[in-house]
Amino acid sequence: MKRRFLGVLIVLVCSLAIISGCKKKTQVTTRPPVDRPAPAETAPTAAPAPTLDLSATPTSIKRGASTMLKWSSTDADSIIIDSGVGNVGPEGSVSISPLESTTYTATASGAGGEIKASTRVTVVRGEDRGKISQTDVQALQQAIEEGKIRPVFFGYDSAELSAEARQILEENSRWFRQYQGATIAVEGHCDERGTEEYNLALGDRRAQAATTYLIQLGIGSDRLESISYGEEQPFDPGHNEAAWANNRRAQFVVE
Amino acid sequence: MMSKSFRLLALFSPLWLSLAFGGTKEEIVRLQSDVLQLQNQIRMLQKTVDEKDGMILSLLEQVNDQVAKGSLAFDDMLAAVNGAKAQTSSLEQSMGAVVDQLELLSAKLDETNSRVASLHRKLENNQMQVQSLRTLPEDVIAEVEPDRVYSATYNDYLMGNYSLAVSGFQDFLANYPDSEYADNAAYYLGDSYLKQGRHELAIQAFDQVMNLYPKGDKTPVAYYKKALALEELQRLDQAIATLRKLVKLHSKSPEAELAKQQLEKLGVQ
Amino acid sequence: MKWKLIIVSMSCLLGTEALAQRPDAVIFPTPTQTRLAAADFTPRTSANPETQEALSVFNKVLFDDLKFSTLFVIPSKSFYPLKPLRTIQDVVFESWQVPTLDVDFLAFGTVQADATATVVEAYLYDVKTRQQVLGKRFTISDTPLIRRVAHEFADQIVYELSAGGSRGVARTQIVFASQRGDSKEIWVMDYDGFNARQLTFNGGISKFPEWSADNKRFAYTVKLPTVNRWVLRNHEIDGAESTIRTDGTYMSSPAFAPDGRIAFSARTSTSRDSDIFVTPPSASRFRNITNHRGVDTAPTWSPTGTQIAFISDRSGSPQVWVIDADGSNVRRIVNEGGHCDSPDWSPDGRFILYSWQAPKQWKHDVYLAEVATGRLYQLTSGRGSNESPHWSPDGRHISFQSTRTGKKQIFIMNADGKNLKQVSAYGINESPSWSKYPPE
Repeated sequence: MKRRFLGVLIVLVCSLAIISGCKKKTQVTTRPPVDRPAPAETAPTAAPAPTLDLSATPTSIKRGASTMLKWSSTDADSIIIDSGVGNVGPEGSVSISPLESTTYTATASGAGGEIKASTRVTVVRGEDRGKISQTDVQALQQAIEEGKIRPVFFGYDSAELSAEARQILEENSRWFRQYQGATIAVEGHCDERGTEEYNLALGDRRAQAATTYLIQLGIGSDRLESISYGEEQPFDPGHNEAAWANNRRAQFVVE
Repeated sequence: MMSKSFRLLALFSPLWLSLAFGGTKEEIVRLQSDVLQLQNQIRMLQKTVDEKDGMILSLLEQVNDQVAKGSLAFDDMLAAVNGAKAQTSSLEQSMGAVVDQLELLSAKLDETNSRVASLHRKLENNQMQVQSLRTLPEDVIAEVEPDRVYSATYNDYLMGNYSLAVSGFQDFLANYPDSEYADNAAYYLGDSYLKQGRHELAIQAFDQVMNLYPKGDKTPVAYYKKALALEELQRLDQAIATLRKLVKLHSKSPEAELAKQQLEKLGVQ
Repeated sequence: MKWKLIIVSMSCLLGTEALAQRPDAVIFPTPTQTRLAAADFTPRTSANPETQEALSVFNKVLFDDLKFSTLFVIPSKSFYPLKPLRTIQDVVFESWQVPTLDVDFLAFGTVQADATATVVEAYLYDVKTRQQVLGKRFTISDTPLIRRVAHEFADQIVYELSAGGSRGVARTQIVFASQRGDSKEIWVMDYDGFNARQLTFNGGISKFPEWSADNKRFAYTVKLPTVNRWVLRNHEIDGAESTIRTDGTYMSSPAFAPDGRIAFSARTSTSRDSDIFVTPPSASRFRNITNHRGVDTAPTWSPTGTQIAFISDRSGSPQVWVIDADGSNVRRIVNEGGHCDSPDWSPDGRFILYSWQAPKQWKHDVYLAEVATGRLYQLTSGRGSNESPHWSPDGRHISFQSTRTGKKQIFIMNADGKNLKQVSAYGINESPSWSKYPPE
């Protein structure tokens, strides 16, 4: 039942997309060419006018991040995109990372004339998004205190994230997404059984494992600071398996 | 002050000689410790051999004593038998028993004699060992612990005494071609040559490693170092060929990664 | 008779077996034979209280230093002739050659302190030849320096009598990480635990100090209290500091090559996890020596700087590996399972010291691996965890941290594991690094 419903949905969405696409194309072709010389003068038979489509996904990025610029055309001999992209083929895509908000304009020219298409990429400055908000910091600190943001635990001599650890990180990531105005220190810790030097490296691997997964979950890498404490700061000062298990962790600190 | 210097001079005169031939102070100290080690090992071996000798000698003496006692008893018995014969024939019955005993005793004597002979042989063997110990101490020590020899030679290599290392590894390979350290010794011989700047000899030695121990863990690094030696000799085509062979034959080795970097540096892929 | 033979041959067998496994026979192949007596020094002119106090310190320090050197057989003072020795005229050589003493060398002398200065006159005589080997006069203005004089004379005796085998460790120092408040800082003390003083005031956590080969600086790892990043610091003897950083937040375990290059472990933008890097002394150019999945850390240089030993868990658990400094010829030296850490290459190149934790155990012990053959020798046992071993510059002693008396403290012992001595007591103390020889 469910699957059939899904199929219907897909067909619907596809046809919608095709219709809307056709509509766009028609729009472009019907637009009168701006400085097109009289076709009758240059060619005895009327050549079809070129078509051109240009888009960016996403249209809004953080400074330093990149977006995909995509274009397609028909009946064009050459396509030039400005703002440093240059000569390109009839259709394709390129990854761009403008430092400022930029309008990209492509020009397609062929026997049937010339046509332009534009798209704008908006760049959000990092500082704007990464700005520390005291309320966000306090909200996250409170969530940590109340155990809503939880540490994740590791096996002996391991930096692998268990299924449970991943689930905790997913829950934590919702908090981090909700309160964007705070930087999070991801601390890697070890139990006392390892030795000093190896443990500082192992703690780094644990912090890295948690950080990498949070980035995969969409938390900006500029908000995460991974730091190893080795065996310097045990959670539980005991010398038994229960204490050790508590100490093999990656925990989250907001300051 | 004087006397002490003299004592040191006498004790370590070979070391002073080596100083005259350009050895550094560290080398002298190291040589000195090598000599002391060797002397100590000889002393220990000598002691063991001496102990064993003493033991066998005392056994021999005991056996000789017993043989002598046996002979005495035999003589006594003969005298008794003769006396008995002369006195009376009524003792003929007991004579039979005495003869039996006599035979038994003589058999025992034979056995003891053969034991004495075997002990003599052992003693001679031991004396030969002592002799060879006195003339060729290194060989005896080497027989006891080949890995001591390898270890000392490797330390010469590690500490940068490459001429000592070269002769040490050569001797090691000549004496212990089947040792578990043979492939290591062959490789480090090549690397000692390389570090001395004797590139032709280094190449030959690395070829030996590849040919004799194609599956050995030193083979990839032998390829790599051979290529470096070829580069030094400006035989770039051969160096490139060697690096490519290394990448192809030992693609998983860390040296294959270094070879790729080296090929890039040489402007080829 | 037969029995006797078997017993004798068995004891021979056991004798040689034990010889191969006992570390002392391998580390100290030539047993100590020089017999030395250090007679109590005496007042030169008057036994005033200052002189008495200086004497009691001097006599104890000199005797302890000589005993600790492992180079002499020192008969107990109870066998010494009772006559106090001030000058050579007081020495009756025959009385030092009786069977209970039978010493080859005799040290004696005087100490005289007054309000302005303390003068020490110290002699060493060859008892057999009755010749003077050493004769020194030390003048100090400050009585607490008396320890230093005793250390210096001990080192001169060692240097004179070891035929170049050692320059003596009595004037060496140990740097270590110490937590005596909220922060963990770098401290330094004399080798025997005296004169401890704090060298860094960073706050946060400072760890893994390591002396340079020229003894003029040490490097360590530090995380400042408000910064989520580990960096390395070079600490010059005069207190000046410089920082080495990468683009990553993890750096650890600096180690100096003889030519001043520094090996360390770090995660940078070019390495996924902890790898070994090398940088020239005064430039921030880093060269990857290892680039391997898993942890590579705790580098230590061979004495000539041609090889690096380090810890890697590339084969599963952390073990001791060695690599040529050009990145080739990587090989495993210790392969025993369990956990290895903190390797330190011996000054003579023959051994690598490290700590090892047997599988499924939680205490560590100090072990020695012979580099050429991979033969292993256990040096510590018993209570507590024994970690971070480090060689003395003459290769005859080892410092390490141990929990055998409770919290982590610094201990020293002979390189064969004998003659253990605790040299720190306050706070938590770890990661000792024994200095090189002091400058001449």
